[in-house]
Amino acid sequence: MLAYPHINPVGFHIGPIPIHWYGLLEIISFVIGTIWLIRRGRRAEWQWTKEQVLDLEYYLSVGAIAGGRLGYVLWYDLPYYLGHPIQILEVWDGGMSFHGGLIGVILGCWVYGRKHDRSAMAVLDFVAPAAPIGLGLGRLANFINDQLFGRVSHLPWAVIFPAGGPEPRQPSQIYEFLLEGVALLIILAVYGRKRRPTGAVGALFVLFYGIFRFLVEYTRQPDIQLGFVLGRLDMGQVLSAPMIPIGIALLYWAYRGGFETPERNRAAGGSA
Amino acid sequence: MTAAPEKAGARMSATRGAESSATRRFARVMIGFTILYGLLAAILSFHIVVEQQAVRRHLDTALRVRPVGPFASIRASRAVARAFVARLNAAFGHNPCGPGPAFALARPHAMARRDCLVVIAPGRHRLHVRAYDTQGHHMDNVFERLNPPPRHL
Repeated sequence: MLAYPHINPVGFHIGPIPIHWYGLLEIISFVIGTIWLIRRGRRAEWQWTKEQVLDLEYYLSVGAIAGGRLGYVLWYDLPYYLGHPIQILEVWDGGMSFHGGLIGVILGCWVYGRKHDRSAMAVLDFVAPAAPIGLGLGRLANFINDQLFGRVSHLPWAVIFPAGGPEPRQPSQIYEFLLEGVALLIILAVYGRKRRPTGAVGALFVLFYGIFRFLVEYTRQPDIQLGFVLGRLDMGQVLSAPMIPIGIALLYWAYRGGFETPERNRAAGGSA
Repeated sequence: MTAAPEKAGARMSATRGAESSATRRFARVMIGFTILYGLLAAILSFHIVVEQQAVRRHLDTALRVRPVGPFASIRASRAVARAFVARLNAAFGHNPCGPGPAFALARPHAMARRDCLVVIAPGRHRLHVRAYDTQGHHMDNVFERLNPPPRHL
């Protein structure tokens, strides 16, 4: 088994203010994602200006934070928050759900698309390849913060997490970093390099995130207030399972040309 | 002379209209499915959190107040365990997952249904406590001690 590296959660101080690795990694992922989207937006098939990308990120950030928090409240600890409704607003105390955040981001894409005359699926296609950067670095931050670790295991690479007691556990944050971060980034970046039908890149994100998260959850310690929720499945798996058929359905519909807009067809010379 | 292009234009427009209404139908099905699934997941989660909270409190209490040994014999330990189970059942009432007691005196593998059950097993040096979650999977006492349940939801 491996020893936990004991990385100080505080990266450094700016004067009296401690800068935590978690926040720092989130900021780094936001900056990298923004730069990448600005460069991606310059390509002929996208045609996004820098101002449009920054404007879009505002909608996505609001959607991700509001959706992530409401998702956590609804799916992970509703009885508690019904008793303490004010704490729903205390997002700095932790408690965000990826699945709620994804719904919030999709709504953000839809609102932005309506305002700027773009289809929601085209907006989702544009941003999807950048999402694994934030997801991956977020998982690394979880590892540094000694949280969201795996189940008890005696594999040679199991780690004794201080917050998890004396037994070695699966480093599930690292698995998530590798799958939801690195692998998903490679899949979407490679697939998104060529022109694809509208909606296909977003659909592929939904499909592969669903598959990866469902698999990794088998190694992750379920949330303590829930435990397992449906036989051997935990809440992460219950919420990730429908992403697989939804992703397949979206991909099928995208390749049928269902999300194409007349403007895009014209720009592409009438074919998708 | 202009009839053929007009017909073609009308046909294209009709196809686009049909495609767009089909996409709208597809979107409605996807959104409806997501909302329904999300609501069902929320109901399931609410139910599980309430039950799990109860069994965590039972486990926490049993671990905190279990009589300490060593006991004179395994028979003495069994008598202490039986009295302990009776006391706990009197204090906490029924099993949060359904009918039946919340605490039982048995070997874990001898129990047919273990959802939300806290099993007290006699031992020479101390009473062993093992809890089962809402799905009947045994819980981790060490992890529970590190993260005790809140007193109230």
